[in-house]
Amino acid sequence: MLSAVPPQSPVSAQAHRAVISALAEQIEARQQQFGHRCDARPIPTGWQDIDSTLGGGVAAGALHEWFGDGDECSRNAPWFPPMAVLAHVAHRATLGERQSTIWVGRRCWAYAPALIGADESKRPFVERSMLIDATTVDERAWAIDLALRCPAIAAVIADGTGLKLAITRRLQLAAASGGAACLLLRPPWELSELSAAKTRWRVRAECSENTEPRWTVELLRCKGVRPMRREGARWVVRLDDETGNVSLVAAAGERRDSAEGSPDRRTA
Amino acid sequence: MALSQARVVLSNPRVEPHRGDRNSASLRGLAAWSSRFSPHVAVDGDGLLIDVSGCARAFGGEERLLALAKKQYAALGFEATLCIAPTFGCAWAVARFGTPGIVPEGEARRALLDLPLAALRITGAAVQSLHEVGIERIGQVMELPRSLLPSRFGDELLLRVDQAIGQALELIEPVRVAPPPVVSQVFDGPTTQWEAIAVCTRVLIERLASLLKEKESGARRIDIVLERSDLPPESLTITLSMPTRDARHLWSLVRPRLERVNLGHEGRGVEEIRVGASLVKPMAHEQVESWGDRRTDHQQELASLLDTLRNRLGTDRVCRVQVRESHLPERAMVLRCGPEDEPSRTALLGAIDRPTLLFANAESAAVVSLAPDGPVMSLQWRGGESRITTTQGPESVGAEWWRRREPCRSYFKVQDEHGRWLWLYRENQTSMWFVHGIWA
Repeated sequence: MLSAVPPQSPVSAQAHRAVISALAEQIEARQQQFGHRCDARPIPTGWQDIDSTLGGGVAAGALHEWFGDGDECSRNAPWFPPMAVLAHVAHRATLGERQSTIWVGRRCWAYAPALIGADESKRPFVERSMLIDATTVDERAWAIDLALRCPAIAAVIADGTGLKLAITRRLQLAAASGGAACLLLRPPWELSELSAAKTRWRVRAECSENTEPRWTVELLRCKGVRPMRREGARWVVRLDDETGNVSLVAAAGERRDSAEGSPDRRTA
Repeated sequence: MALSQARVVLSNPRVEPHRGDRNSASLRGLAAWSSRFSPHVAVDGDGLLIDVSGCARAFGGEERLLALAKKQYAALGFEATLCIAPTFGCAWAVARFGTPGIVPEGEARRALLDLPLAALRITGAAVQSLHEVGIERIGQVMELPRSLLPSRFGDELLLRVDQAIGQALELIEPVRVAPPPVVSQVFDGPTTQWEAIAVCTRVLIERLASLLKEKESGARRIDIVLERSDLPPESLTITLSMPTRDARHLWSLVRPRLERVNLGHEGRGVEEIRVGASLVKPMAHEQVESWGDRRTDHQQELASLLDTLRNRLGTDRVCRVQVRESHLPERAMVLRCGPEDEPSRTALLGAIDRPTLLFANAESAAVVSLAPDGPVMSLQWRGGESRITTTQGPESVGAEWWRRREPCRSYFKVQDEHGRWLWLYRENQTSMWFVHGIWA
């Protein structure tokens, strides 16, 4: 049983914190006892603002959902998974001890020459990528689950179309026990679906003045992190034409403030 | 030729020490390979002795066998001098000193007459003492009275002459190739009980694994044959991406396949199970696990993951990526589904601007543009129309010169009103427009 002395009288914030941290330790010990490893360190994305919001980076050993750009109401509208951002996170994940990446589902097979670009250091990332052509929901769920439990895998990037709450729970448990990061791609109309993911992101294309593609990355939900800004956490990232690297431009909130009055479809 | 002589002839010869052990080891390997011509192959000094008596018929005659062997050795990179003769001694002599080919039955004696004494496989001293009395050819030895030979030149000379002409027995010691390990279990009577068959297969896999462990090797391919009394035998083949002798892993691959096997009708069924490793690769004994290398651990974990995926989804649905140097975008990325034997080659294409998603098939689109190569104004694609705000291009992309038939394309990178960057191309011959990718 978890036990902590409930605060009887008005106590200082410090005492509260001590109680909370004692409880957190107990929960962690319990989780380790049941085989849920929590030793996975977060994956630093290299985007400072996002890293600091997330407390070090995208959590390894957890499920992350990424919603693509498209119409949220219509199921037939075309949508595209945010490959550039995801590939960046997956590449960052492979820089540690685990080095392999698994891509499940044909929809999320990124174009490899664009991933490497001219960057020699990204070569192992592409060479250690395995592409799995799983089509049905059952096959995808099975393959993702299996890959997440393999200790050699750094990240699983998967087509998450049509995965129900129960399956995302199973995948979250698999990720927690295996220690790999699971990056699920979901179509925009599934935003209303429930899921057990630790974080939910939305990536949408942003008009750019030069030839560099830009996206707004929006953190919709993050378990265990207090929201930093009133209008939610938004950033703009850009893809460098020549190197193929994705880097942070500025927080989208600030940019929007400065461009007040211009027609902005995201506010619709 | 001595090394000093070679140095005089060549200004800069490459010198490598002679490794006799490696030579004979590779000759043994070649002997094992040569078992395709005959089951009896022996290594003899610097050559091979192959007992092809009775085997030539399988190849359609001795001439064909000889031509085939010559071709196959050449394919391996060996320039072989081949000779078929009635005796080993005769073949040995003719291959080295005579005109290689076929010595017909009963012609051994005549084929040897003109050959030098060294062709008799006798010691240098014996050759020397024969030379001293003016004997240089085998024919001359044969003319000498037999009774004189042993006392003057030793027993060996007479034996070798007799062996060469087929009057004395000669035995060779064939190279034995270890057969691939197979374990089997015969049931008392045929059974259709899946549980019994599963337990038995599992035990057999464990036995096979321990056999492989003794031989310090691992299986790359496992064959399981179920002999059924009323149906033809069912055979399951499982190919592995890395040599393994982990019984648990093998069983996890075999089990789903075994579940789908038709065991036969009631009252009959499976009579015998055979589990064999048809492809075996050397695999060193592993250290105690806690000392093991993390990297190789990961490799094995990954290999077993891929095996499981391949086993359920099929080999062609688990691929690796390869980046190749090609201008055509769809050729620059290749998917390879084979085993992980060969290292993957990834070319660096340099700083080129390519979309992060490339459609498997370019999608037809309708485009309005100001001039043939001018900025694109609007795009109709996938049932929607969008205004194009920015256009970059054209970038002309053509196939390699040896693929001249494929048309050239002009690629444009365009941004639509929503900020999406698309990759369009116009086929130069037909002026048709396609969307090929997106920066997603």
